[in-house]
Amino acid sequence: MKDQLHFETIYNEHKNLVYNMCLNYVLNKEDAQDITQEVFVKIYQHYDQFNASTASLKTWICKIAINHCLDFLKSKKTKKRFGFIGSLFHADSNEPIFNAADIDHPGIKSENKEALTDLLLVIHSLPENQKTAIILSKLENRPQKEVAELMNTSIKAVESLLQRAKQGIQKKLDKNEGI
Amino acid sequence: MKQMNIDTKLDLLKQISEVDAPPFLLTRIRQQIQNMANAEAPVKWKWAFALTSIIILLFNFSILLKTGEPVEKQDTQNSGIEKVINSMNLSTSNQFYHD
Repeated sequence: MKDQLHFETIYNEHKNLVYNMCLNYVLNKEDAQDITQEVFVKIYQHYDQFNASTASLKTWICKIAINHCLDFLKSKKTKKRFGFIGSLFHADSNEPIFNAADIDHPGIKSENKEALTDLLLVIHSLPENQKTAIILSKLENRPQKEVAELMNTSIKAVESLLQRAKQGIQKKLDKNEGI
Repeated sequence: MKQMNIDTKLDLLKQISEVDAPPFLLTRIRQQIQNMANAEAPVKWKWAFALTSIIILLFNFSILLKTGEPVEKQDTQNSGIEKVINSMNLSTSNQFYHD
């Protein structure tokens, strides 16, 4: 992208969307700021590749943000497991990425903090696609059609993912209450 | 019943409010873009590197062409070497130990 002014217009229109999406994924304002920065740098570098006939600018930006957040979570999970050797043996495990202490979401009000923290920890222990479906449809209140577009899948598949995610959350919450 | 229960629990997520992106973020982004532009090598340097690489490749290729002489010529050279070996009583065998 050569035009700074055009970039700043794009930034001003989408900054809150990207920042809140990153916050919902990484649950921490410092990390969300870093990822938002990376996302907009990527937008600046690859704006020539944006094809308006295949997707809207908003969808394109959201997809970049989601991919960055998922990559960040993957690398965080790998680092947490004592590096490379551990990741070889537990590549697909759903072990939690966050602790309650890691969560620093400025959108969470103090009166519900504990209940919301527990719920977010459970959501973030779900498999990647179920977690994305829940974040997009429940945290960001997007319609299923939009969620399907962002996830490159069908509405039926999103419904199924949501169903499985809800079952998974229920199971984990019941287990936590049992303890 | 359970389905209703989980939906009620998930409704709790609606209480997470949207926040504004920090105002300093644009400055940080501009700075990173600027740093990347500065870190990139100038076009003149890129052309110079490409030309140097091509010259080195051509030089190597020309040397390969010059040294790749016809077999007959090589044979005469070999016979010259054999004469030297014979005159100096050197062994032409690859074996270390003679039976």
